[in-house]
Amino acid sequence: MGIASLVLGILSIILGVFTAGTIGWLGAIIGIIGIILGAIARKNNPNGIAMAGLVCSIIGTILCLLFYIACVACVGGLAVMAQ
Amino acid sequence: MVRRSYHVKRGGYRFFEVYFMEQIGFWFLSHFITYYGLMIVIGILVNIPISYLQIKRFGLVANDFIIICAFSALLSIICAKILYLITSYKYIIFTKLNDWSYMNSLMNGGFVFLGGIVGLLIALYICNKYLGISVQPYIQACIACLPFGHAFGRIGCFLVGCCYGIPYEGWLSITYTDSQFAPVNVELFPVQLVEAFIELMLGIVLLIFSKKLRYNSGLYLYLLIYSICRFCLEFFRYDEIRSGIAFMSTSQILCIILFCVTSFCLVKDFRKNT
Repeated sequence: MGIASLVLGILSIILGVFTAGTIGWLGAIIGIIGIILGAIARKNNPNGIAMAGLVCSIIGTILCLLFYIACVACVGGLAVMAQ
Repeated sequence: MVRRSYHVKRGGYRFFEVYFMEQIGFWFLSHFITYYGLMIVIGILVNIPISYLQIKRFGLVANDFIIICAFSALLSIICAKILYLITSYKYIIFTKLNDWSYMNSLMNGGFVFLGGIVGLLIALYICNKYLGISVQPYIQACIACLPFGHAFGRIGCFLVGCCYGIPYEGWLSITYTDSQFAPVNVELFPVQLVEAFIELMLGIVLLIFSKKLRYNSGLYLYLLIYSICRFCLEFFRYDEIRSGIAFMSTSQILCIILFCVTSFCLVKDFRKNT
């Protein structure tokens, strides 16, 4: 689980930094799953990989949220796009 | 370059005026950062030390708290997005769903907060039932983080100009001179800021009384007060495209459901504990 968390964390950082916002939402979801796996791994078997996975996942999630969430007028945004 | 401003009127004259160079965000080191995303991250960063101190104060396990938070965030995002897509299904062009850029714009579109609350409750149930984590003490300790985070989200809405209020020419009315969403050059009621203020006050109250709010009473208190406030504030919203039934919006119907379900659970818990 620690390795899976690390992989997902690195992936979310890559998606956050290098995809220029196109799939930021996917990076955030991947990062959160990484956080869950990292925390479970730390709980069951605390080691460096689990900690690294947790930290990478948190950084990746925050980067994705920071760069790419746009509030397109909670409900009305789609209408603007349609127009 | 697009130029926009907020004029906050106070007693017949402009109280202050702030200029922003883009409509929904700004550029920083070649990255476009949206105001909403920035406010969400600020909300998270504010909540991290608050929750850490509360965990220490209550003597709880940090790893379990991280699992609960991450699980709640995941299901909240998914449910908030699903509810957003349901409430705006009329404007979705289903024939373009196989177009990646259109699909991506839908996913970046927005969230409905009440859907997030439903997701949160599902996540808490799963953590309690299947992961074997007793969520009750964590709720008691960290329920105040929820209104704090939401308040920052609402400030993000205010900065972007979405979820705007009804036309109003009184004290503290706001005027958008250039917005993608709000009507321009019309004095509006600052409903986003009012909601943010209520959320902040609610968060402070929950934080102060967190030791005294035993069992799930903190969560119930938050849900009851929030559903009442949101129901009332919906009458001051002026978003043109809002689906609903009769004179009530979708959010108001959800508020009524939320209020009834919370009241039922509160009575059930009260009887069980006494």
